[in-house]
Amino acid sequence: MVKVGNCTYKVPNGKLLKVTVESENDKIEKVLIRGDFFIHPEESLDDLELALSGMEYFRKNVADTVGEFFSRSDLIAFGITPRAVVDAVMMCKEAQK
Amino acid sequence: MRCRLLLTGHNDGFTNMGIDESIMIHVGQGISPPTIRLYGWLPPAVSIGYFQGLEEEVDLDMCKNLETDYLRRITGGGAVFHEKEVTYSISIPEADRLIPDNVLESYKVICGGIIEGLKELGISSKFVPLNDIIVEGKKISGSAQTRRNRTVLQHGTVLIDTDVAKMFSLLIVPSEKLKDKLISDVKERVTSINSVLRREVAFEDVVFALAKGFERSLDIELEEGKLTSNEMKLAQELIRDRYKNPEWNHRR
Repeated sequence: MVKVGNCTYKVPNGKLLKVTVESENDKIEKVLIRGDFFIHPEESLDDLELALSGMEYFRKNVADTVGEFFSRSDLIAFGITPRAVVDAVMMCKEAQK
Repeated sequence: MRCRLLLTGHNDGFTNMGIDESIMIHVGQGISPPTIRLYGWLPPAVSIGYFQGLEEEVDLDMCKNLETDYLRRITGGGAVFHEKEVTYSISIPEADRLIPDNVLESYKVICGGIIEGLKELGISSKFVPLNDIIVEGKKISGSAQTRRNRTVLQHGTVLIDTDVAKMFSLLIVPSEKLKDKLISDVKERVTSINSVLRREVAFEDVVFALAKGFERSLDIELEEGKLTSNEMKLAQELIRDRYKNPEWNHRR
């Protein structure tokens, strides 16, 4: 069964993060990350959402993928942190219950 | 250094964002010179940041009722209600001596023009990272920047007046119960030129002051110019294909 979880998360010292995760049997189907943060280049956020799709929905996997994304050499982010994205994505799992 | 100044007056939001992006692309191609543009919004509009959810942030029915446009920007940041303000945009190659590589630093340098422009009007203000300018602890200006094709586009608002109640009728608030509290909070945190000076300042006077402010702060010479026909042509395409396109505006 497909489950949908939403979460609004205020990044400490940062902006507001709104995340939606669709998953089925502990596998992430789709992630949507929204908010008033800044990421350069902007299009790259699509890559993160795509990278998270199809992944086993456990903290370690999510943290690895998010960490890898934020360490890309061309990436600049303000008001959003890898930690906040991981926390928000995992809070969506809680919200599904 | 010489820089082109574009005074395009009031346009709708789609046109405003289409022109900014078109200028940026032409500057990026080395066809157009570094450009500062000063403009207003008619009809009023709500712009949302690149990463925001449209229907999550904006009351689309209310926008229709209040004849207010809505659209997604190519820059990040938050939702902005544009009505009584002057908006600036600056498009300049990343390699220009004026622009620090560091994005944070570049916000500060460009916002220096606004601070100097406000000083011209008799208002003392300061920059607060990442992208705000405050007067007596209250926000009077916010900016957003993107970098594409080794070109910086930064645009931002300078508030001439505020209508916080109207703004919150157009934006989605977490709960109706908290709406009054939210409105009074924002009134405490946001100010405007009229409110600081306790008089009504004309759009043109703010435009003039900001142009002077940028010249002085960036040590540049502004020369008034016009949009080229190619810039206008591309702007029209961007208006149609992007800013008026529901697929773009509803994509998140």
